[in-house]
Amino acid sequence: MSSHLDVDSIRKSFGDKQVLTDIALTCQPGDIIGLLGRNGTGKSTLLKIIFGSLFTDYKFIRINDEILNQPFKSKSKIAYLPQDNFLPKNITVNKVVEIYSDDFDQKGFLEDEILSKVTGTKIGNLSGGESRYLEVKLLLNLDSIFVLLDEPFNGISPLHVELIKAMILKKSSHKGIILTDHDYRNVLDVANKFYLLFDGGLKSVKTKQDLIDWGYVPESQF
Amino acid sequence: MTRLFLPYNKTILKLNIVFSIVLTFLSSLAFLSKKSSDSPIYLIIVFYIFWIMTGGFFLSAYYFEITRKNEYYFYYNLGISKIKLLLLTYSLHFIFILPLLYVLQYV
Repeated sequence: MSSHLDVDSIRKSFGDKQVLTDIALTCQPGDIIGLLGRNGTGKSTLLKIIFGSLFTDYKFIRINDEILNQPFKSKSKIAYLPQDNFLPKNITVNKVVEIYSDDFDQKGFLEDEILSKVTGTKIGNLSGGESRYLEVKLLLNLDSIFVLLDEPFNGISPLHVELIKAMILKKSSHKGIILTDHDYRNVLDVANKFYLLFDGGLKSVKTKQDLIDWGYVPESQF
Repeated sequence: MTRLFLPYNKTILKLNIVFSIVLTFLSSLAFLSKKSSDSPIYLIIVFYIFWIMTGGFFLSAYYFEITRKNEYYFYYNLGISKIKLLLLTYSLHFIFILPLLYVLQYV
């Protein structure tokens, strides 16, 4: 039986504001789910709840047949790229890869055009693009079946964007990926399923016209 | 397992050393003026050990929480929760104070 991530009944409010209302979602290896939505619609909140790092009173998260309260505690099930850089700034690229390399070959991992130049560099001295590229590559190379990517293309150069897109597409053959980004064109390029977070609910997006109808993009964009 | 959270342990320990020196200095000012049969060096080491394992540790963890909160995701992705990280790091602090406890016998 293939792996599957089932998310249901997720609700979250901050004070009086209901951000998420009964969100349901299913993801399987091969899926690249593009999660779209305006600022403050709860995209990051939803990913954090699925990962298990943000508490909410109402949620149902199941990976395969196991119901999980904090999925991240079950290693090899789920990984999460937060919006901001998460690698410790005071250690080198080599050290970070060594710590994460239980799931992959450290030497092979570092042999690429970006990382081979910065192996001895401290994380704090990497450029924004190099740092993001390393983070995404680390998470996609873990054994985790599902990977949640919160703004993987944010603030990085076109070269790094293309490399990250290629990596996501390559790894999606055996992983389920949920990603969100403010540059929806990058999301449209790589994802094969789309949802829009609107007014607390999750709307399935089948065509570009749906995005216009929901007021996410102006008609002139397409 | 230990190597997974060593970067966190190293950061917390560095902060803790600084916070505990300040706390030890302040508590020494308050206590050393009072008459005591113990030697001042003995008291300073006792204060230092006390602060390393209490206030210094908690201040360091709090400082990390407010300044580098996002780094917790580095450990979450390895399956290590915040509570586990704190407990493991606290346990490693016992190793750090062992030499001080040894010195204490000879002061």
